[in-house]
Amino acid sequence: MKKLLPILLVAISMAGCQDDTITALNETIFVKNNGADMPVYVRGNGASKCFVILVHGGPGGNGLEYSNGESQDILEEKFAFAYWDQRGQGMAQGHYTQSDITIGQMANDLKAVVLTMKKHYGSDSKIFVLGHSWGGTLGTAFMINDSNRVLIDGWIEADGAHDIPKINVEAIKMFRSISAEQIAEGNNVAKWQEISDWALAVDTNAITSDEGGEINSKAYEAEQMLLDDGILESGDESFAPLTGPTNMLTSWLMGNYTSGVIHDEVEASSMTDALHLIDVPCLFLWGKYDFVVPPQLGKDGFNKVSSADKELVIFQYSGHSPMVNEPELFAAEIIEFINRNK
Amino acid sequence: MKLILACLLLFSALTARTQGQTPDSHELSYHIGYLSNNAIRPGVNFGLEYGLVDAVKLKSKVKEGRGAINTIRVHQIVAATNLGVLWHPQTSTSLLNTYTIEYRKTTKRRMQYQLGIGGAYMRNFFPNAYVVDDSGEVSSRSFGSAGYGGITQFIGYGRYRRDSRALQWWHLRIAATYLVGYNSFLLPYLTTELRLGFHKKPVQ
Repeated sequence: MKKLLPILLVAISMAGCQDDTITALNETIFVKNNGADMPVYVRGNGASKCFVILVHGGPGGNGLEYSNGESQDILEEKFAFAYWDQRGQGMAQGHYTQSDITIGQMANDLKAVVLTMKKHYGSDSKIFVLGHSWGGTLGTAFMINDSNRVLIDGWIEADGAHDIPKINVEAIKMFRSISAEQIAEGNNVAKWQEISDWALAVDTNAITSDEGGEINSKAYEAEQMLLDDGILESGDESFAPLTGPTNMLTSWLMGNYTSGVIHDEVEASSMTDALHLIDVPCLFLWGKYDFVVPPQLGKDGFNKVSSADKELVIFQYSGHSPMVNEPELFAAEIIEFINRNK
Repeated sequence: MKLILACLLLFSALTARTQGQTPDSHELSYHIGYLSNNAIRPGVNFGLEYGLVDAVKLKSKVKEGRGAINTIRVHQIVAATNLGVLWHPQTSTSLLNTYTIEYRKTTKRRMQYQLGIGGAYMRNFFPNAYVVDDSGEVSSRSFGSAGYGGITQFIGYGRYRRDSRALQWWHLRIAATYLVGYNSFLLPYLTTELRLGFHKKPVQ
């Protein structure tokens, strides 16, 4: 019996380890594609065999920015999330030229990530793609390609920027209407009046690149005012620990360089007319008060895709990041969508 | 004759003190220490250094009742090579190799200040590495890695320990290594180091 006891203990501990690796994934995969070595941090419930590839915002963000917070805690219990650092961002590295930093190449990188996930976790794995903000631009560029679309089981666009020129026009309309509402309600009157005057002076038929930048910064300013006045839910904005794999200085520097290279292409990027090509199940999640990427883009996405299973959810107390403002609702919508389509 | 004898005695006394008080050039010494990238990625380093040139300034003051007080300042040019390993369980493991030339000043209180420049090479090794070819074929990569050359520069501060001790100095150092072609850009890679320097043999 004395001899059997250690063997029994080892067997029990091994069984415990095996269970942990299946249900609670926490590993990093590096994907090399056309010169770029890109980390994919996979976390969450691997036993579900459902993987959600998170396409981060920016350009210039990083995947693990999205890994902390209440919504992800809920979601990672149900599915595994793959936080991918895109080419030239986060901790991605490698050797290539600046001419390889294009939306088309990054969409091809996303395909490489999908194929690698299937290779690593099995071809029976279900793959969903979730793009937020700039991740919506990149995700849409991936989705409108026939050979990419067949690889995935569903597309989730959260406040995704699939049409930048349209964003600017719609944001100006929002500045005008929301500022009028807020002034009427007596909230931050002087500041909203200032925004209203500025928005009324912008010619929406000829928005310049400089005005595009100004619209983006005013969008965050307006969202902060709504947050201060309690119109938006404050949510939980949590940050990645300094001991995490993302070196913030490297990520910030590389993100800025990459963003600078791709800026002109992003500013001209308009994919509304190609949305009808998307025929896989789609979920569009938008904050009602998103001035950065106005809800009209979510409505366009919902109306134009050819998918039989499609849904649009507008979060009433959210801005550009509903996963922060209304994390429980955000997670619930995704869980329902994936369970329906896995 | 008495004067010459006194001078010789003073010179020999100064020389004897100098050997224990200053770092010796033309001697290979090694160092080990702690290396980190922004405190996120910890690591260890090991290196060798060799004093190429030195200039020693001696000052001696004779005070009544206290004898001779000797002060020494040393300026050195030191050649060094270093190999560091940086590690993180969820991202790449890095080897950082540098070859540097350094100016080092030792003050009369044996504090050491250093400034240097040199060449560097970093190789990052990836866990679970895969490569996807143009046709979409995915294959796993054994020891998947990427390497970058660059220039490194550093400043440091520390102290020389006199007399016959195996641990001859400690240095704190901040280095910026500019990695060329990292994502088609230049990446300043910052490291901090604690170095402990040992003579090959303790000074007798």
